[in-house]
Amino acid sequence: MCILFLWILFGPVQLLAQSGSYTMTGIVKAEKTGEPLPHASVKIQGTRLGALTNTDGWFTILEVPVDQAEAVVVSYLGYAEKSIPLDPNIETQNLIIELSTSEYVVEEVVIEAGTKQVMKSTGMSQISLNPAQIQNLPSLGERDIFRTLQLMPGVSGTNESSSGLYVRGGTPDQNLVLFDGFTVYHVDHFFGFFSAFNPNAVKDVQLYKGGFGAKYGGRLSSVVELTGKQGNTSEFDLDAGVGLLSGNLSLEIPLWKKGSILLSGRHSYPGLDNNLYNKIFDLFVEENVNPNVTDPSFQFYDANAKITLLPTDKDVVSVSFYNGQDDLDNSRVIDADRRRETPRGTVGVLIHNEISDLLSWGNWGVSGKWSRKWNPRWYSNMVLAWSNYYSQREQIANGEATIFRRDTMITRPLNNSFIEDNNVQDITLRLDNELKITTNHTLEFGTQLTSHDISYLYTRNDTTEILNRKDLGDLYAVYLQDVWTPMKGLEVQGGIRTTYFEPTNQIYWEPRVSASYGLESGLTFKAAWGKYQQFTNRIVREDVLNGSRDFWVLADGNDIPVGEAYHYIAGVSYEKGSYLIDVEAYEKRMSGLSEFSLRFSQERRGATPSANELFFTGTGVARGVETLVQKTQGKYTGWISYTLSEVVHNFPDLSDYAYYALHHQQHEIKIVQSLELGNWILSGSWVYASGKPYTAPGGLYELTTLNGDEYGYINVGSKNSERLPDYHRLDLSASYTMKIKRSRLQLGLSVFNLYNRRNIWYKEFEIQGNELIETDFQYLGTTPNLFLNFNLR
Amino acid sequence: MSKYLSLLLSSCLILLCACEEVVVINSLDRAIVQAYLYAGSSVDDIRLSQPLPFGVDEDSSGLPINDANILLTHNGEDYALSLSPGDSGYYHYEGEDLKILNGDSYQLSFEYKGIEITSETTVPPPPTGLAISQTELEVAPVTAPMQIRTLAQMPPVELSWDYQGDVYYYLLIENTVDSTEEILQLQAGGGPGGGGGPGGGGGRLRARFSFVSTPFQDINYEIQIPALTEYGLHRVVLFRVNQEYVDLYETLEQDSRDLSEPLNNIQNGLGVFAAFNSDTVWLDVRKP
Repeated sequence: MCILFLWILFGPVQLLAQSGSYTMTGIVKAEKTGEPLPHASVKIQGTRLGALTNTDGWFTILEVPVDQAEAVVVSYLGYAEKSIPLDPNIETQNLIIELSTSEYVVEEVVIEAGTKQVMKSTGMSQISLNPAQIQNLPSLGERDIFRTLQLMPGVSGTNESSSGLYVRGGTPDQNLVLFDGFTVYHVDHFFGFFSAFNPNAVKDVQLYKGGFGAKYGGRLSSVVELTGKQGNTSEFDLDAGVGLLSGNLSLEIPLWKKGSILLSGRHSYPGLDNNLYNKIFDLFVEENVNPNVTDPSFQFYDANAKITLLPTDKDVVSVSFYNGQDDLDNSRVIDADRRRETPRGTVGVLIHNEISDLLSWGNWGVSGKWSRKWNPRWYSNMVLAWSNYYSQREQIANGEATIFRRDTMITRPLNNSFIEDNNVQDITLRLDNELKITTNHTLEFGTQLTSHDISYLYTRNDTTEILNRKDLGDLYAVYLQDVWTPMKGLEVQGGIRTTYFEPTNQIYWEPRVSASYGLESGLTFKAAWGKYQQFTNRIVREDVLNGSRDFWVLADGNDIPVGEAYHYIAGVSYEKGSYLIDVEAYEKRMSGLSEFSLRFSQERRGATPSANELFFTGTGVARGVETLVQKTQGKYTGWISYTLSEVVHNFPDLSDYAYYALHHQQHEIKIVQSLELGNWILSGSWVYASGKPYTAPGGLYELTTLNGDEYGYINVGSKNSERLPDYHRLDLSASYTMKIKRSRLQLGLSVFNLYNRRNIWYKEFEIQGNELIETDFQYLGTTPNLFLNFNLR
Repeated sequence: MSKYLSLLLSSCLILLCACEEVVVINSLDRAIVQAYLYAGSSVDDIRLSQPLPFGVDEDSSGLPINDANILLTHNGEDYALSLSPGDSGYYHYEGEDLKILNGDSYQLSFEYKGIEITSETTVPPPPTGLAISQTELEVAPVTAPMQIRTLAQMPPVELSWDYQGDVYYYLLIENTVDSTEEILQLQAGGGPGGGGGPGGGGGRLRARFSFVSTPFQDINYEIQIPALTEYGLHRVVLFRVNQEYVDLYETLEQDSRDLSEPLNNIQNGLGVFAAFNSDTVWLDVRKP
């Protein structure tokens, strides 16, 4: 082992591994900007050899046979495929392959195809997204990466109020979101109607829906890895855009061909009060109970900065910074008159409630990364990152309800006030290595050290402290995996991740294996199995009356167990010409799930419930079948997907029976189509999904104690036994791009929810006396949006 | 290729058939059980009802369920309960062969609206070493308000029993004499009352005195003399309460924000099925 290591580190590189073959190395870049392109496909035509570029765009292909290799074919989502003929005289070391978008295609060397493609289904449960092309899809005021991901098969597309991803029955917290190496804990901007990531600052998005390798850890469900743009290394670049909600600006400044600076930011308009904003804001006021909104205000911003230095041909050093924040003042006055006259007098309730409701949340993230290509076989990168998510909410209610029961009238104060403060921080040091041992074996190994600091405070009525947690804990992980190609067409990836988690003082082993077998006919069979652990959890705080909320905590092995999941995935895909058919079946068995509820707190007479009486532990299973039919190339592209699934949770202390999880949706259909007509791009998407479950108060009853005292109760129905109506909506978009010298201007119109389907987001309940007041909170109706993007070079 | 596709489709079908069992019970279809067994006594304190829907202007004590076929199971033997007269949702066992025994477990089961409702309780051991500080108590009739103070100053009657751990008890004090005289014989004007005759209070019909304490954890109890309102031989019963009733009692209050409901031991239903065991002492309250 030691000898192997020394050989890798210091030994001469065997460029000609054997007679008649050579090693090809190089980098794939965007021609226009010099931006390295990660996860680009590099194939040697005439052989079955190939590789994907790494995060810095580098690739290595060992033992390329001189007599069979005809050309190197490079493709990357949103760029024209490039084919470079190979002959004995061509340089095969440190190749620089530049790809063009359709506007800058050089006719002789490219096959123009897929340049407007938004997504590509690649590998085992993996989807690549091209941020540059998402503007061609209908959007809700702002083009958005996570909103686009929600149109992918296997990702729930009905969460208008959350950018978080519900992937294959997982929840957003079970989804590891990495941006330039730091973890992002909360991706919502502006009520969750779009995500915290500015697409101008992102160049590559990879979504792993399950069965992901040992390189990633700490989450049960899925991984989204976002790679930030490093900026144009050749020339100054400026992008500007305006939508109805915010304006954005990006600057890319080259540093003498030895690096670049990227500055990018978005900000909501001061005094934001346009029509779209008001529509969204109206979702948050209780319009069905005669609302009177006082001084609403909202603002958000985000800023990205990245400095990239290329000190040598083998090194890339970068520092990436992110900050985003949302502030919402949702104070309101509620007046509701639910009195009615009966022959025996007036019954019902009269409510007046003044609510002060302030909410602020945001993210900070900083990462420093050093990548080095030690030699053609060995690549390393080291990341030191700090991430912080914070959320503070203060709601103070001051009002009263007057209950009329024929000849009696009772006035009760309404004091449903609370304060929530959640702060999540981590510092992470990560080292990843990729080592090509032979043509058949690529070894990946690395380590991760993370120090967590998570606090959560929840108080009621200013004084009653329901929960006050301060959790500190370190995590040490190492992983090793091998990508093995034992025979033509077959690729097996096996690995193990081992984590020592300090709060539980335990070591967790996570073996994972996946395999794919591709036939010449275009048919590929794939399967994966793996074990996954999660140490930081976003816990649902159940609230039947006001809608459930959530907060982050660190697992402690007692009240909050370490989450565990087993993935079982099998599928087949068939790709022929411009068409792809992909079917995957999955099952995810989860344990160590947590929920926080005061409804089952067993709060005993005269005693404050302890934390362990408020957290409930359970198991869950998510299973389903995803089908995708996609047209991948040409002027007309798009996909149709259908997912049949179920998500069932079993928390014995919350329900006598297993129940459907809040995010369960049995059927989901997505149709996304895009047509390129000259400078015009027309697109549309239609989403249909079964209604989601919810819990509702069901009736009233009374118990009499042995000494004759009578106690009345509101009975809550079976957990999540009710169903919201089915969700569906149609969005359309048209955009026109014009070139003015070297600059580009794009104008567009997008219509969200064209046929004004009033989908229901959630329900709130108010109970006074024996009256139940039910309020439907609806999603957006028809919402048109204009946008303008400008690129100056 | 068709072989592979068949394999995949078969796998998908197997996966889809492996659905989890999810049972949904409508709130209004839930049965509310209030069932109590007393060691050594007949079974007659079992009531079933169902919740009321919102917006119905009715007494919230619930609609009685009068058509249930309730089985009480003891040692594998089923005993069918009968509906008690009055259609108020009370059930009883008519035979003599069902015994409620110390330490034994009993299962309650019935089907309501297609849902099987079950529960189980175990009879706790009786209190041991129950003693009363006096079996006879002389109390003069109170005919003037000023005499009430004298009553309050009398030393309480003390009950004591053995420590059995952190268990709960409740106390029943009940006059066993049907026609009796009240201790308080005040008239509206504060002058001497008519008392003295059966039924007291000017010949009004009234229930016998009965007092039930709230559950408590202790090894003694003081009966304050003003709490006794009648002359006669009183039954003082100390019940040992099992955990099911303690759970209910300790979680009786519902927070309107959380909608927390009391703990219950009724599978697929609401309420409580509990058993009690007791020991009895006697206290004769007399005139001097």
